[in-house]
Amino acid sequence: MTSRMWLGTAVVAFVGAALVLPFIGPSALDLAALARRQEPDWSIFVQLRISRTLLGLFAGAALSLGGALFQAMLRDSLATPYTLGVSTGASLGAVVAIAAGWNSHASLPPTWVGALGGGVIALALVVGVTATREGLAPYRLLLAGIALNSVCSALILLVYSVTSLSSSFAITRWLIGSLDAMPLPQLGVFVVFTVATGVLIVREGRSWTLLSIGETWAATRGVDVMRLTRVGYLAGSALTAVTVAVAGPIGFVGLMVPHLVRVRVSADARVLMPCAFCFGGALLAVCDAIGRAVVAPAEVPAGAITACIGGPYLVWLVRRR
Amino acid sequence: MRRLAVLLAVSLALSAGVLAQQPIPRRIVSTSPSITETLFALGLGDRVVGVSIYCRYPEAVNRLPKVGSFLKPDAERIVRLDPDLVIVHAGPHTVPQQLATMHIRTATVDKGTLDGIYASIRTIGRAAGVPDRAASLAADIERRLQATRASSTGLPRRKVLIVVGREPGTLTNLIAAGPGSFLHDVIGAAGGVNVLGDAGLPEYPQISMETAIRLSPDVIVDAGDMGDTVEEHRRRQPLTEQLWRNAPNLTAGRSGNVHAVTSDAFVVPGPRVVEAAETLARWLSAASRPR
Repeated sequence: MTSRMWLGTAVVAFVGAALVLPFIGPSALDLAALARRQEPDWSIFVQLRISRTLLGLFAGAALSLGGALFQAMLRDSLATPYTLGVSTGASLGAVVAIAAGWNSHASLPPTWVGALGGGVIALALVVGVTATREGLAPYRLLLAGIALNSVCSALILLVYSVTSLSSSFAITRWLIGSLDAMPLPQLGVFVVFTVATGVLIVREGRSWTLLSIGETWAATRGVDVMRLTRVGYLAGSALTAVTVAVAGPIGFVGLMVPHLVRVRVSADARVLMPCAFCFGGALLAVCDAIGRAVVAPAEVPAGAITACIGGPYLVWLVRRR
Repeated sequence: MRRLAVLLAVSLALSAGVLAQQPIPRRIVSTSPSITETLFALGLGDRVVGVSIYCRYPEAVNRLPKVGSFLKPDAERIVRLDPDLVIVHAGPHTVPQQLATMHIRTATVDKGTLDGIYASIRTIGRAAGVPDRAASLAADIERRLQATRASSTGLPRRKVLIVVGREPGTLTNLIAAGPGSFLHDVIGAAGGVNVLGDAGLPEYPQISMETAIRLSPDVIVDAGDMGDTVEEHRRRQPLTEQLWRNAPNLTAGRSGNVHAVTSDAFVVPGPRVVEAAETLARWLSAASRPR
């Protein structure tokens, strides 16, 4: 298949998932009632199923794109959207919000407020520590990110161990990362933010391909490496922090999908990144649909399904090559 | 073979003798709220010298030293309290083995269903040397639960959803009481039907709002985001109930049959299970009255 065909397939998978998955859920929808906009089927379909499917699509897309971006920027095939510390800072913020029993602010759940605050503080810390007169160097970002990851993970454990039983229960559930319906206005903001940041990242596709080969290689071909690193770091971190805020730290999709796309499709970021965006979104949304239907009316978190399906497939793919 | 039988009989007799001679414990350490509440209900409160970090009831436990949680009791802190009996839950920890090497006696209790609560009361009573009190406490709980069930006779069997966990400030990622949980038995004792009572479901399934709407409970009890202190429970109660009232397509929300829990009795599988059942029975009876 050519790159163009792969891009087409990725878009079809994304749009197909958006159209089909809202019809999958723990209970059967009455299509006649839906056509008449009869309650509760209409609200279940629009407010709960469509909202949740779109959240899965765009959260998966954001995490996959973040993974592809950081893998290119750091030239590290094990990089994930969580490598550079900002997401763990966001997780710490959410965990503090749960433990401290914050209230909702302006209809924003406390975990969102905490996660966004934690993400911004983590971002400021990493930039403050690593920024030099020349700008941000990828290896310094990586070291600061790993250090921040460790510190924030330790603080999460600390908060967890001193908090109450009900809070520690809520923290454990949140850290698994799972999707649920969210109000459509907030979802709209998340979608617009994800698409805008995605466009900003994918537009630099040629430069990411060059940077993934080597800094000098990119610099000698006209890439402003420092500016590109700055843009990539800020955009990728913001994308990840916001996604973690609304969906929790869903694992694996950000590592796995860019890998799969690189192996099956192309290592050229101009193809890899949009494909990772669309396939990542479709994968997470499909995994969530499986998770909500397979043991209905109980649910399995999407992250668990992603790892169960994707892990063995990735191993199989690597062995086959 | 005969020699083996004699040896077995002698060793059984010896161990029975050792058990009979075991001194009545004077310094008891508890590692969970349900164990602590059981000890106090058995009138052994003055012998409790250490409790878990999660213990808050009765008031007196707030002044006692803390020895970790039921998932991970802290053996060193426990040993420092010089106990002669430590009561733990079965779990992935190795505290009983650690304490055994220091010749500190442990008793392990079960958690989960109502039967588990009765069994735990009897185990604790036996280990603490008050088996009669334990039998009478268990019988008392059974009697009061039967009385609660009897008081609901004749009333329609209302469908109940008990939420034990959710994302703070939202109605997402709901965790509810399923079959095999003590709250499932509490619903039965209060004369209701658990909407998630189907066999095969997990003890505490995660469900979506869609499932909550489809199950169409008559009464919803929310113990999901109640906070840690009594003041905090009371502060959050109206916020939680408002959250459910605003949810569309929920009969219980519209008819005012959503109750945010303000007592730990709904989350601690101990002797106060009676209190939880009696409270729930009152709410079910109110739901049956015409408004």
